[in-house]
Amino acid sequence: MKLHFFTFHSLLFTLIVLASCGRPSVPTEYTTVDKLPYILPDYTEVTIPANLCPTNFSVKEGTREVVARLSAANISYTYGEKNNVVIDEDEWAELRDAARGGSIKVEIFAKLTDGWKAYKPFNIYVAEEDIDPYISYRNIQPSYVAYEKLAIRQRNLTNFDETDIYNNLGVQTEANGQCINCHSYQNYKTDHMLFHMRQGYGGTLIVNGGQLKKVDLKTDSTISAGVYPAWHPTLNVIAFSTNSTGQSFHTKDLSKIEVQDTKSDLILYDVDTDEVCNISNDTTELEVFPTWSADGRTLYFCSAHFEYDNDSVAKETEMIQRYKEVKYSLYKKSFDPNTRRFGPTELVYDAAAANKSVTLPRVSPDGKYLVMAYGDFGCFHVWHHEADIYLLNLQTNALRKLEGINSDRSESYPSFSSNGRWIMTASRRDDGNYTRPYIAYFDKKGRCHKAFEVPQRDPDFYTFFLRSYNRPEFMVEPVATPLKNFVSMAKTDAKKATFVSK
Amino acid sequence: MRTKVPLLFLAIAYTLLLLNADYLYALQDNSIFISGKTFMQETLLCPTGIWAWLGSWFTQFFYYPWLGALIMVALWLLTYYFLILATEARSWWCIFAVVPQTFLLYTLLCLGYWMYYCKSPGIAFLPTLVLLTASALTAMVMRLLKFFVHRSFRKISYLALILFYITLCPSLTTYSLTLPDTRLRLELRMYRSIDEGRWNDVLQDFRQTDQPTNLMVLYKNIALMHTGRLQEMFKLGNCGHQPKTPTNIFTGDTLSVHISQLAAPMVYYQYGQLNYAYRWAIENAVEYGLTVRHMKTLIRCALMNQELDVAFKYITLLKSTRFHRNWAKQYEQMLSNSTLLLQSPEFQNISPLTDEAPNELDTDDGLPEKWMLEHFSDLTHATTPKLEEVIITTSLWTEDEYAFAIHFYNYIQRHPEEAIPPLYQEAAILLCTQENSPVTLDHFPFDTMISDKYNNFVRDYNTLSQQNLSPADMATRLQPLYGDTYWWYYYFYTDFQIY
Repeated sequence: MKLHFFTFHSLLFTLIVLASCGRPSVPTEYTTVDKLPYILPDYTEVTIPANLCPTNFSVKEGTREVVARLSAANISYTYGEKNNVVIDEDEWAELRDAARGGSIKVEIFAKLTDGWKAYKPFNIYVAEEDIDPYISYRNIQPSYVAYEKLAIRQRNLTNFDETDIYNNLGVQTEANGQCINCHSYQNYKTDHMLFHMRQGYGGTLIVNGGQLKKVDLKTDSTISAGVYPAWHPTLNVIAFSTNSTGQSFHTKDLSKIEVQDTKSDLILYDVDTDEVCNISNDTTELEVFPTWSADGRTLYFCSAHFEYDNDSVAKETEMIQRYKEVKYSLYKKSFDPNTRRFGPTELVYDAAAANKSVTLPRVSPDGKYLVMAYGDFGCFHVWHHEADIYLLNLQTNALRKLEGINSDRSESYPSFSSNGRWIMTASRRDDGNYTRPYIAYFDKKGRCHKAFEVPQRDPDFYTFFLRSYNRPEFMVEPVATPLKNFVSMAKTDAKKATFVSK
Repeated sequence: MRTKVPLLFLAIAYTLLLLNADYLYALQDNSIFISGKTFMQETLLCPTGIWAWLGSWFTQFFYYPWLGALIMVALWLLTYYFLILATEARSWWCIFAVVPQTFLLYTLLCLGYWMYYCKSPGIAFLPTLVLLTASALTAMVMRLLKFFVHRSFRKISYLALILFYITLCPSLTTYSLTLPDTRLRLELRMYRSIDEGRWNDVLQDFRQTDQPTNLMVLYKNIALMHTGRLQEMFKLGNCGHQPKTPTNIFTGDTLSVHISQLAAPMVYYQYGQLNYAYRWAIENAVEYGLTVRHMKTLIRCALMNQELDVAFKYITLLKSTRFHRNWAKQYEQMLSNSTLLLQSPEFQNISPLTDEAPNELDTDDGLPEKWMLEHFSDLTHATTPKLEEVIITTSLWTEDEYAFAIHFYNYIQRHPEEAIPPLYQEAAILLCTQENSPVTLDHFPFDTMISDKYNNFVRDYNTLSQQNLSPADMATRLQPLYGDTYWWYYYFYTDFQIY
């Protein structure tokens, strides 16, 4: 009898445990609500790549219990952990594969104080095309002057794996902090890549065909070391801007920070010979943000015409006084890969004439389009809430705002995936202060669909994470150079680049 | 003896900790523990890893100083137990097993200004947790040794104790052995009073020292500003001094203390400079670690700036703390109900200072006090009576005669029918008698009492000058009669050092 009693309770306990671990059921009784549920991140009616990881989300309807039913073709699964919807990766792959070229239907049921509610179902559209499996970015607190922990990380978009490419904690000391920035790749591949280190152990770390080296790109004939980089798609040369950059702070404007260049030029760096030469160094122009066309025969860049006219104050002071006058337009120079000679500067889009300022141009892999950040003035649109992503048709020269990817807050740093079907941007739409990576489907007709935030395993991750995602870049493969190799190389002396006149 | 020694020590330690309750509260205010994976992962990245995370968790209990102190002495008791277990110390030797805890108590109370600059999260508990772990491991190893090599156990145990102290001593060199500073305690109390809007308590604490720091003067003037009593700025004393910064007796290094780290977010916020308050909360959080103080400032600024989404983010984070969630919930209500925000005392206090002030692109170069005094002193258009009062008194604070002259004439024009406040009259009388003064008020109807008092001040000043007294002696002699006047401040406060 005792044994039976024990067995019965063991079974009961097992059943309770199994029930608590099981899949939630869709409530049998509920009232319908004719509105979409408020979910974060917002994945309602977005278009995702056919190889993306699960789009976990949280239902923000003041509920502590939700059930989400995801269906595609004849597959259906339910999920719900308190107010979170965390999707099993294998089941997600089934749903996603079944929905390729179609959609996954999502139904949300939330238990509120007056019973269960069923919200208007929504779709997650699955494109036919994949996305590059990796992105990389710099995680940085949206700081002003101070910095402490910085990391350049790579994220696998097909799952949730994230690793450090480089982390400044490996080398910086209390007295000698180290800023890292401007990671960049040649043609989406990582065997040719670079990033800069400033202050402690300063220099540029370059991976050249898998070989690592450290270079000091500052020469007596240039304004600074290389800043904003652009690898040539096929040659072993990199276009850089050189900048003298300052920072000041708004007392009331919610943009909070202004970053301005008091002078800037463009240089070309030969990775094999460590030689630097000028591309453009007009003293009345602020040239910046170089980027190559996919065929490597054109260098696009931004430039603002600015003449200092007050000798009684420092240039930095005059720039602060006249910061709203600085308007960057889009220019290009032809480039002969054989002779490595640039042609004359040509105006591509006269933003200044439209009283606007364009920055951070990137050309689509098919060479038809160019995306750029478009704001009212200046070069640092990440702090300009009016900044949006615009698309320039390079064949017709028609410019338009990309509706699907923009918000009423700052969008900047756009880039195309290697197949040209996805555009990623650094957006501040979540809260206006922290930059997050958003990706939008750019279809064959040139339309941009509603953007989605890069998914995280924990749906509340972005709320609790106090760092920005800076310079999100697509990669077709992960960085193969181990972090420890970067750290070792960081501690060595940088080789000085030499300036050559051409 | 094994029982009496720890009990006596713990009783003394607990009493000492409770005597410093405000200080303990400030320690948790300058730390934070947010439940959840993200905070844990971020904290574990620190060099001290799990101890930092645990230290942050324990530090939050100083919200109730008696509770945090109780936990602390309990951990020390546990450490004592492990040390006794490791060494099998008996009789008077037991005293040695409370020596490390004595050092820990002392370093905790002497942390002082380091609480703003220490980059290790949970620093209040961190050394205790490390010691606890070390002593537990030592005890375990010693028991194993005893089991295997019984004869030499006694020698080994004493060797272990010696090694223990040898490893402990160098860790003390990171701290300065300076006696606790009363003014720091007052600063911490005043900060909390400002945070909770208890203005009279701020003023009461200010009166407890005759050598206030610059920061205490700022706090005092914030309290006066929000209670409409800025006219009393010099009556209560406005002479700030640099704080006594701790010096490391081993290395001789002195900690360089700056208002930008001590309280810039709160000071800027109270003066309505929301962007700069936000900036310094972020800067300090980035460099020295996130704290409850930073989080509160970020929430307040975001709400006042109507940046509701980011306010929601910060409120969500603060709601994930154990003891500050009610504060966060209170501010959460303002997110959805703007009337609550508009009617809140904080908004009513601060909005008159922010209204219609034009945007500027500027930088404070890490000197908030200097920037703010110059900023307000240089403002020419006051849109509210409160801002007008701040502008005029700031020009007196900085002894900027030209700025005061402009503000004074503006004031007279704007208030033709009103009596001129005595403080402005004092300053005007003083300045119009100076050589090359920008203030010319020959026929201005000053109050006779004030002009007579000024004449007496000049007479007494000249008398003492003829006696070849030093300025310091003159200041002391004239203070009973004129210490509450602007003249005394103007002539004798010559040590205004911004930090």
